[in-house]
Amino acid sequence: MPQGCFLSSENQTTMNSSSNITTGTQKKTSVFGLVFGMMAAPGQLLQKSLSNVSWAVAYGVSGVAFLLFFLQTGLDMMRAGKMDTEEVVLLSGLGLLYGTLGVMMVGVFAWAGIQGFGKTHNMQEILRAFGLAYSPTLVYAVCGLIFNVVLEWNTAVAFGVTGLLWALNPISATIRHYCDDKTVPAVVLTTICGLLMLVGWAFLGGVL
Amino acid sequence: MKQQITVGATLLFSVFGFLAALDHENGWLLVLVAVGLGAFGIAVLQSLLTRFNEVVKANPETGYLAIKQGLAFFVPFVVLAIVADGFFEWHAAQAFFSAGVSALGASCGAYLMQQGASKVGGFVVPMVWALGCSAIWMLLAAAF
Repeated sequence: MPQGCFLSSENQTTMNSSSNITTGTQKKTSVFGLVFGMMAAPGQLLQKSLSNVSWAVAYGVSGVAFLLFFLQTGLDMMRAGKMDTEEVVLLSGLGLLYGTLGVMMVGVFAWAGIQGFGKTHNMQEILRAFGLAYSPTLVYAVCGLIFNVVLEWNTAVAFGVTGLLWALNPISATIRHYCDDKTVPAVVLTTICGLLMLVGWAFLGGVL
Repeated sequence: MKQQITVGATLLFSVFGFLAALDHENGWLLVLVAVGLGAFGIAVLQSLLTRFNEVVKANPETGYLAIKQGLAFFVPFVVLAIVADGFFEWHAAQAFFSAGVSALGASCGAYLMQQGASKVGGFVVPMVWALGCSAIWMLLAAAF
């Protein structure tokens, strides 16, 4: 993996071997720091500029989260005899696509909504925050996959949907941050973004 | 403000009571339990904030405003739970409740931190409350 992949092109400065992000003005933030920071205290992380976080990291988090989530959905269905291996691989690929392009589209919708509520912000920063907002989904997806593979539990709903729901907190924190702490726009946009992601998963997972 | 918050909490919590009631024999009892938990839980949260949060101790109104913000961010979870149960027939309201109550606590804490509260009073107390509330609802839903 090229060393600069964790840094956006406009902010590449230095990076050490443990994938830490360093700029001239900001402290190092590891990928783990970003994931757990976004999960536990998104408001504090958003106080710092996210412009030094590369697209690869931001959408790597959401992409891998949904890949693993959809993989669990496929494994559950395969166990129930509703899917074969090829379909599980295809569904996982769809998950990766959904976790990158889908999340980005929802991010664009949120950005447009924030603009609609009269707040002008940099779209790139909002989109990066949206990718990172799926950090809880990634953590739940990794835990769920372990239980799914080792204990053969059906984990798509228990871990997958739970992870998706826990992402709503960083999402609402992101929207609230960029709406200058206005509650109503943040609640409306969070609800719509949550619905879009839930319906999208249901559609792709063949639940509909 | 206190009455508004109590009514809001009981209404929002009662939705989860209704959703849980669909799968239980003693359904209406669960609705009543959810209403009670909403009213009692919010009173407990305000009481904990008054006891452990220096900002709320100085001005109790701040506590109500923080809880009001927390309840506002509970709304998306209520809507998603209704859609998931009503349209997709996923009876997983417990997951929505747990995540929603945690978001309530986190949003409440974020508001208090903005007002200058310490990490313990502003973050730990609401999150511990959320964990307790979620566990109590899980136990009550299983008991009935």
